[in-house]
Amino acid sequence: MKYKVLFVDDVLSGNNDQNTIISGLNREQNLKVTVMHPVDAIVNLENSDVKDYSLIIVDYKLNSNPHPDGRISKMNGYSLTSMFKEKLPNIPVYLISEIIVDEVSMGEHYDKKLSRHVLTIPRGKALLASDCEDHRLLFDKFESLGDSDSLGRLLKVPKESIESFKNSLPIEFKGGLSSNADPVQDSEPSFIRFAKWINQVLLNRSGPLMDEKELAILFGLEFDYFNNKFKKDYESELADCEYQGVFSRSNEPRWWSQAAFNFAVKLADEEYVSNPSEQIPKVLNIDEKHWSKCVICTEYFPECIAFEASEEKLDKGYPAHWRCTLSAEDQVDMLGFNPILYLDESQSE
Amino acid sequence: MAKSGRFFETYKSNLSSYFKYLYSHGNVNGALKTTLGTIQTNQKILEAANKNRGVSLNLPCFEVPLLRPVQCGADTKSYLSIGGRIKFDRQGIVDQSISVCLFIVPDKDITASSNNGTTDMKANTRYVVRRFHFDMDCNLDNKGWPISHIQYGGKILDDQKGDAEYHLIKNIDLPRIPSFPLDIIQVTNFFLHQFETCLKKPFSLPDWRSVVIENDNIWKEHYIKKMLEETSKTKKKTMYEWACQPIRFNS
Repeated sequence: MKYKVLFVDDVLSGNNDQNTIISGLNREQNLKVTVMHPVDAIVNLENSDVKDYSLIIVDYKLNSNPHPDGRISKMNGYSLTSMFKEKLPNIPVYLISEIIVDEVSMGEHYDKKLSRHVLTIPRGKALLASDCEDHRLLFDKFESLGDSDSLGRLLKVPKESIESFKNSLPIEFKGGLSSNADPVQDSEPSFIRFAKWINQVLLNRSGPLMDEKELAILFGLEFDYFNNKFKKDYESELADCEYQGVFSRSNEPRWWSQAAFNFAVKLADEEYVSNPSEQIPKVLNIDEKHWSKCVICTEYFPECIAFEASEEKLDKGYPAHWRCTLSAEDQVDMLGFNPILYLDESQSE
Repeated sequence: MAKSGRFFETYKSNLSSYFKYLYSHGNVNGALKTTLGTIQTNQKILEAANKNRGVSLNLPCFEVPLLRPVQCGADTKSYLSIGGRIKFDRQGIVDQSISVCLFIVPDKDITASSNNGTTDMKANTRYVVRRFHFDMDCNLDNKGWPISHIQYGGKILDDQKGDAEYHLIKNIDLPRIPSFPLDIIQVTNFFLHQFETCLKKPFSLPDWRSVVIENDNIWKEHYIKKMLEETSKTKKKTMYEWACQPIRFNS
């Protein structure tokens, strides 16, 4: 199956850079990309052809280049995405830009923001195709997703993690997606909002799922040893805890926290279940130099990943004890998820 | 006849609710912040405990400042500290040790003659002025003391003592005052009700009360009901003697 993608840009020809991107995307087995000038896209909004697209991509930086017939669109990328989202609420809208640094990010008026660069690399092209497929799956199924258990089945949540998954669901999704009729947000269908929550929160914040660094400290190990040795030794057990649901292919890998914790407890194999992070490195006779260590107090077995307060972006986390961190004061607690923690440098030795 | 493992399952779930509560409210007010990592780990340990294994938890020491500090001839900063450990299994064996301390830090030197019943105390030094121990010793065969008991003074956890002055004499373990089982939920509940702290309000809410009521029911069922039944059968055994008998909370 080919997914139809609409690429809205006012540079229609003569731009080698853009031609390379489009032809590159069209070489993907399951993508068919059509480029359209914003003027045409606006006119065709009510047209059934436009409604058939699986995804709309809008260039953030429109250059006011006129349509071949001379008309100019006065809208910028943001206002176009907002308009598409309002008029075609069932279709996800992505924004692309040359000037953004992050490969992928999320925001209010669009479903994802991508760097132009990411569309030129295999990961980015695969991301578009898999996102189209995952959005379609949600669209096809959302009417049958009538409770939180069905959402759990859709996301392939292992039984150990189902409770923490349900706890983390925002109130609007606790009753599933089918009965969702929030009058405030009714312009955006439940499955689009759910997709956004999965990408923005579930696959982005520490909570029912954990990232690779958190997984390493769960086993009491420093990152390099965990990646180069432990992960290979226990590949199949860890694969059982890995997130395999929608949008897993377009995000960094993540693991179900409680399922991974249960595996850690099993591995520690003690008569009384206690903290596996402290037990595993000892039970497996792993050299102390590979044990996880807090970057602040330098003691072993930190419990969380924290960030440098001076860094705006949260892409480089460090292992730390919870007691060696601070949480941002203006942070809104999100039930079922951990607060974002910053290293408390005042405690450094 | 009680179902095997019933105590274990219900108690595990009740403790899990306790840690969930601490976690969500600790997040809000930051009073429990240093312990949140352990609190979260404990909850996952309780979820992970399977059929064949017991649970062994470190109950992290959390310390809350008193809003009405102790007055003793000087203004003080006063703190309540609660921590310890618990181990329990499917046979209904509970091995618990909870330590609660009241710390004060006077803002000026106090002399024993200040008529406040104090010893000499130095300004800006941390003192343990009260210490209680809440124990359950199911795992010991009858040693001649009540399985569930309270001690005053006695040995103190190094982590909890820190650099504080402690003059309650570590090796006086007696008396072990018999009590019905006071576990971490009961202890947290009554201390936070009696002392004015920033946690008083969150620990009065209906969600917290339901955790405590569930806990009450567990001890009513597995201790109090049993005590009433067994002590009413014979007039030859005192209640104290019954309290000193080994007990399995499962049956």
